[in-house]
Parts: sequence; structure tokens; C-alpha cells
Amino acid sequence: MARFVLTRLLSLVPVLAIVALITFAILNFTPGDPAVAILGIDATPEQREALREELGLNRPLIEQFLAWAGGLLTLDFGSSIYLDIPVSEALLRHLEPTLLLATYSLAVAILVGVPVGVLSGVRRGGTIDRLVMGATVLINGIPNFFLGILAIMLFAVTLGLLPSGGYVSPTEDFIGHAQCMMLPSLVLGISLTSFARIIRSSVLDVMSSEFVETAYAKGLNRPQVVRRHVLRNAAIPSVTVIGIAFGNLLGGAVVTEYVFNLQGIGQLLVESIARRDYPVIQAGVLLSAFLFVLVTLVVDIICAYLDPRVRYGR
Amino acid sequence: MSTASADPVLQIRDLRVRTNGPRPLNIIDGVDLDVALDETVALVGESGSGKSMAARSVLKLLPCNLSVTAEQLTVAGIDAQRADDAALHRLRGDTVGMVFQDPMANFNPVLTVGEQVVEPMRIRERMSKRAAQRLAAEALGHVGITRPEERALEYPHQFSGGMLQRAMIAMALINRPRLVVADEPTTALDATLQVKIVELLRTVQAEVGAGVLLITHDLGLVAELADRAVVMYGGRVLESGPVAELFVQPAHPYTRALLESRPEQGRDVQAIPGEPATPATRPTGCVFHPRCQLRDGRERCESTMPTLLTLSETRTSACHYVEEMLDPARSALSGSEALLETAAAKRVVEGVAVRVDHVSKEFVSTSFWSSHRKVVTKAVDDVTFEVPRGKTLGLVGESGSGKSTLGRLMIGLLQPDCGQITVFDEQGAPITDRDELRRTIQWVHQDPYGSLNPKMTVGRLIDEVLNRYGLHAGRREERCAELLTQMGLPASTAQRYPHQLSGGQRQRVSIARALAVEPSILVLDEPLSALDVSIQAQVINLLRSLRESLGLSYVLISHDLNVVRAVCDRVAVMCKGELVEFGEAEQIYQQPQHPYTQTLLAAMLSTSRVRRDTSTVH
Repeated sequence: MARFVLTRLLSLVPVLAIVALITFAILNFTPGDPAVAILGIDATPEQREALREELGLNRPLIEQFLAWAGGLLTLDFGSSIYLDIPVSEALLRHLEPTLLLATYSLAVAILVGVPVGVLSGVRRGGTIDRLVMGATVLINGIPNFFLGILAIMLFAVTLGLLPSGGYVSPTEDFIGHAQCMMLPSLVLGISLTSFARIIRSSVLDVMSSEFVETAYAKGLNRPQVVRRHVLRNAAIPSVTVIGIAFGNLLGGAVVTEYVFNLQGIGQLLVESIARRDYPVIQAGVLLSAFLFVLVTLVVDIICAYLDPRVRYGR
Repeated sequence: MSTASADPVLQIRDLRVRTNGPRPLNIIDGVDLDVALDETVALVGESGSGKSMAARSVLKLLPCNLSVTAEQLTVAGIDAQRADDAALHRLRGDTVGMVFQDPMANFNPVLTVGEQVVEPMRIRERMSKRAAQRLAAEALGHVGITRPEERALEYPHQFSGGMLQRAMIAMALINRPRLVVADEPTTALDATLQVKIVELLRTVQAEVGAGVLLITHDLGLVAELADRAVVMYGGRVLESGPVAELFVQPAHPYTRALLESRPEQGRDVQAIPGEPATPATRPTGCVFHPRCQLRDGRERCESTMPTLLTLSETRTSACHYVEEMLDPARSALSGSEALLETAAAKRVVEGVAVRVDHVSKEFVSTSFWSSHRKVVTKAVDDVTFEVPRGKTLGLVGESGSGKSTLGRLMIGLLQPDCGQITVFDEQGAPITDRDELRRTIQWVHQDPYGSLNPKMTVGRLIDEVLNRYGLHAGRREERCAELLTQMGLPASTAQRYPHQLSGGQRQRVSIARALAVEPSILVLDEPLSALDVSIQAQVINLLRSLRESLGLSYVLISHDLNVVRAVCDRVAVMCKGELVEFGEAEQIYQQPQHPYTQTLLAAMLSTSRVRRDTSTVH
């Protein structure tokens, strides 16, 4: 097991190297100039040239890449061109809201999606099943931002119960943190409940397998069959799907972050792209990739725990 | 032994099962069945005869789109029709133990075998984890599993099929039930194991005094185990009676046909012509009349449904012309052993289809928490032999002997650790191109349930292969229909999904798919073990005629020595990964050299034994 984790961690290195190379290449081959972005279109060519010189942008690309990659090895991501602070500081500052938003909305999605999915799978074709399936289609059909705006209008504007946006760190003011995270987490979480459908179909798959019939023949009643034989088997494919959804959230839920004005990674990346803030973009993409691979590793470990066939590498 | 015997544990009167919906189909049409505490009753018939359903309806284990009615349905004195849910659950776990056909599918892959074996008991009474483990080990040891303490903690995928089936029997017996329902319990087992299981079931019956309802198509097993047999076809009982009488002098043409279609040593098997009746295609009058040899065009069979006549205190038959069946002149069952022997002698070795040269394959597994504990299994250990062209090689051995691994190595699904496997084309040149290799040597999987994608129609399954190799472009649909007809399936099967087909039909679809690319070698991994006897005979005959007409070479992996003898020219006997004996089939069957082969042959179940025994009594 330890070796499994270690090899997976080592495989991070080539993945990250490839991600680094690709982001660097894409950024530098797309049109746009950081000097223009910083100085504005009124600046003279001499001023721009001077800034480029200062930022090292006029050096050959290979040299730029090697310098950047060399910094990466010592965890030095350089400085933001625009923000005038080290990239690591900028990322860390924006990572907290994203991490917490992703975690909360995952919790909401699991708390709602898992029981609902299991219930509608077990009672297939029943009232609950049909209601749930209809509701998930509806929710999937509504764009995130629209749901967010509706929520803001109702809870913040009309009822005045919750703030309409912004971010408060839990270490400063926990109540305030809970208040401002409530709406975005619910909105994002509910839009994720579509994995109730995936759980439902996994449950249905397992329910039709022969060992479930055997379990009934052994005298188990339905709750016992579901608890002992269905859930764990149905969890195996579901964990993978949930894990990937979580990994995506860690890259920043851009739209939700904008709607609720959360200064998350997604927002930082989008703004940095507009500002041609190369160091921030590169490090941000790397960070997202790193988190994603980390999540898939955790998913694999959970799957190995759940499924002895994976564990014993059949 | 009679139906009126003292302690009935199961009584069924006029059982009817039909589908719900606007146009209901009768699946079971008035079946009576009794099992007494001290007897074993076999329910015999082809797939689709309703035998499994009849048994499952006892415990209400049928899908909810079927409705069950019966005049009487009593299990150990409890009216199963009126029992509430709680009573039904108790009935299932405590009073009736079930053994199903496919042990691999019937165990939950994420729980240990031990946990599952004691589960029927643990849901009834509280017990510590340790007590449960001890109990599981005891139960597993009782059914002949070695190192039961360790094996109880292992997972189903670490068991072989045979061992899992033993575990399933342990599971069914854990609460000492009064009735054991065994649905094809030995179909997936080796000959040696079959004997053990049969003995085990007998012991249980003697120890606990349980009644056994045995559902099977294996007449050898019926002869070996059952006191009485009830023969079902098309949802009706056609004949019932003590096995000893029924086998010697069947009172219904269907029973006789079943007995004749059994792959017996050296005898050419006789398939029952036509397809088994399905609920949708059930004929009027006698359900068996379209396939009946006795009917001889008589109108009464088609117009009038025969009632179940009582012939004696113990025997019944539903044939209009039962007196003709009982006529002494008819009753001798023919054997034609000489035919096969001469045919085998005529065959001469011409070329080599596959050469297996000093091939070994090991599997290494590691423990979950540490990589230090490595378990090395030598699945195939330095094996050398040749598959002659145009011939059939039987690969025989117990489960776990490495015969399936060897098959997988031959088709290139696995790579050997050392040694070499060479496949030759029709001109005798070795094939190196991977695509060409895949086309030349095809594989028919053991499990026709798992090997066909349930989301694809039969037509698409076959079309996929044709398309992959660019064969019959423009007329793929016709080719597909051709293949299906060749397999004895209606061409309309192409529109159906695998789950709509019976096991026998699915296996024929698998063979059709394998033959679609026109290979010259077929590796068949237990192709018959999931099939009924009459279908087995059809498939055996089909494989024979295909070999002649298409010049195929076969590698038949099987534990059923009767089937191997009926089909194979050469036999390779595997034991624990090693090839212990290789030679002409007849020679090995007559004079087995290796002690392991001798044990295997001694364990062979045969109806002829019973037939001989009873004929001396009469």
C-alpha cells in the first residue's frame, strides 16, 4: 500500500513537468503583451521596451522557460507582474476560499445526492424515484450563475438574511464566514447533485446482480440487503465520479466565484489571463493540476479500500 | 419414497406462474411437486422448461413482473402464499437453504467469503466477530476446504469456482435448513469435486434429515443423487417417478430423448430435434409434440393436451401413447460406441495448428499493507505439446490446474513468462502478425452471461467483429443472419439483446461471434458447462460438423470428461500447472498412466452405472 502511494506520488513529477511545459508554451504562443496590459495602450514603444527588459520578457523563450522551471524546483514561482507580490503569496491568499467552497459544496452534494440516489435506486420507478429524476434534470438544466443570482435576490436582497457576496476567513470571524459561504456552497452543491443519478444507476446495477438475489434467499430483508450488499458495491464507481467532480472544483468554480465575489483561484486565474500575468497563470494551472492528481490518488486509495479486487491486483 | 410419504417438507399443488401485463404468458402451467424430509427430488428439464422458476416461486424469489398462484404452496408446514414479509425472510434463511448455479456471481465481491457464509446465522442471532469467524471456518472445513481459517478471511475472487461452490453449500447449510434447493449445483465443478459435493449433500440429508430439491439438466447427477425425478418441459410436468425406474424405462418420449442426448462414453450423442418451447411459442395440445419422435403425425397430440396419468403408485406420465413407451420392444436405449472408436482410428495427424513450447506463467500477488508478502502461483509450469490441425484437443484438469490460463496464453491474451507459443496458418507457416493471429485463433468464453455486452444486440455484437476486420463489406447483415442460422438460431435473433436469450442460445451466439472472422482454430473454455444436455448434444454435433466443413482445429478446455471423450481426439491432462499426461483420447481413457488421471476417471459420473445396477435388480 505504501508503495502504491509512493509510486503514485512519484508519477506526479512527469505529469506536472508536462503541464508546466504546455502552459508555458500556450501562454507564450498566444498573442498579447504583458507590457501593453500593464502600461495601457497610451504608453510609448520605448516605455514598453523598457518594461519588457525589466521583466525579462525579451530574453529567448528557452532561457525564460529554463529560468522559470529552475525556480519551480526550489518552489520559487517568481513574482506576479501585475500584483507586485510573490506568486506563491497570491495563490495562497486565493486558495483558501476555493478550497473551502469546494469542500462545503461537496459536503452538500454528498448529503443530498447520496441518500437521494440510493433511495431512488432501491425504489426504482416509485414516486421518490420519479420526483428525484425530474428534479435533477431541472437542476442540471439551470445554469449555475442563474441559480446563484436567484439565491442572491431571494436571500440577500428580498429577505436580507445573508450577505450577497464577499469572503470572510473562518479564522477571523467564523459566523461571518458561515454566512457568506452559505449561499455559494448551496448553489454549487445543488448543481452537483446530478451525481444522485450516477449513484442511482450504480445501485440499480448492483441490485440486479445475482449475489443480491442470493442475499434475499439467505433471508435478509431489504434494508439488510441494501446496507450489507448494495451500498459498498455501488460506492465503488460513485467514488470515482465524485472525486473527479471535486478535483474540478479545486481548479476554481469561476462562475460561482464571480457571482458571489469570492476571491478564489478561479477568479484570480481569469483576471491574470486578462492581465497577461504569466507567472501567476503558470503557477495557478500547475497548482490545479497538482490538486487534481492528488484527489485522484485519494480516490484510488478509497477504491482500493472498498474493493478487494483492486487491492489484491487481480 | 412415494409422494404420500410421511413428512412432506414441500408441497406444491397446481402452481401457476404468469407474466403480468395485458397479454400474460403462462410460464408454469399447473405443476405439482412434493419433497419429503428424507428424500431428494430432482427437477429435470431443459432451460426454459420452468424448473428454476418453479423452485424459486417457493420462496417468492421471482421478479415482480411475474404473478404466482397455487392451490397449495406449503414449506415445512408454513403457507408461503400467506406468509407476511417477516415470516418469509425467516423461511428463506432458516427453513430453506439455496444453492445457486454460478458461484462467482452469487458471492458479493467486496465481502470476505467467511462473512457471507455465516451471514444467514448472524442476522438471526448476535454473535461476536470471533465466534462468527470460527463458525465460518468450521463450515468451510466441513465442505472440504483446506486451511479454512485462512480461507474464511479471503475474498471471492481469490477462490476458484469449485471452492466457491463449496462455500455456497456451506452457506446454504449454516442454519441447518429443512429443505435445500440446489439449482444446478455442480454444473461449474470438476468431476472429482462433483463426487464430493454429491456425497456432501447426501451426508447433510442424512444428518439433518433435510429434503433436497435438485434442479438440474445433468442426468448423471440425477442418477447419482436423486430418489425421484420430475421431468418438466414447457412449464408442465411430463413425467415423474423413481429414478431407478425412470432411467431404465422412461414413460415419456421427452425423458427418453433427454437420456439419449447425454454425452455418454464413446456413444454418438443424439440431439433432440428443434428448439425447446418458450412461453411465447408454446404449441397447442401436448407441449412436446413438435419435437416428439413417437408422435408419428398423429393428430391427437396436436389437438388435445394430455393429462398427467398415474401409472403406478409412484409414477406418472403425460403422454397419450404411454403404453407404446412402456412396450418392452422399444425400451432398450441404443448405444453406438463402435462408431466413434472407428472414426477416431481413421484420423491421421497431418499438421500442427498450435505449438506450445516449454511455456510457464506465474502470477504474483501482494498483500494490501505491505509489499513484502508476495504470493507466487505457478499457473502454468513448463508445458509442451502440439495441437494437431483439424483435430480436437481436450485440455482437462480440475479448476485451478491452469487449463484456462493455458488457453489465454494460446490466444495471446496473456504473455508467457518463458517459453514460446507458435500458431501456424493453413500452409504451415508460423503467424507473426498480431491482427492475423487474433483472426486465426478465436476464443469462446466459459460464461455466456458475462461475455456478451448486455447493451448491444446480437446483430451488433457480430457486426462489430466483421467491421473490425473489414469482412463481408456491404453484406454484413446477411453474413450475420447466415452465421446465426448455422448455429441453429432464428435469423431474427440479431435484433435481440443477450438478456432476452437463454444460456444455450447465448453460448451459440458466442460461437457465432468467434466464427464470424473465419478462424482456423477455436479455443473453447468450458463451452458446454452452462448448457442443458439436449443443447449440449446439439452444440457438440454442431462443433463436429463445423470442424468437418470448415476444417477447424479445436482446443476444448473442460472438466467434463464425458464431453471430452465424446468430442476429442487428443487429451492433455493438467494438474497444478503441470502437464501430467498427453496422448490419444481413447488410449488415455482406456489406460490412464498418471495417478491423477486415474483419479479423475474414477470420479467420472455416469448414468450407465445406475442403469446397470437397477437392471440387475429387476
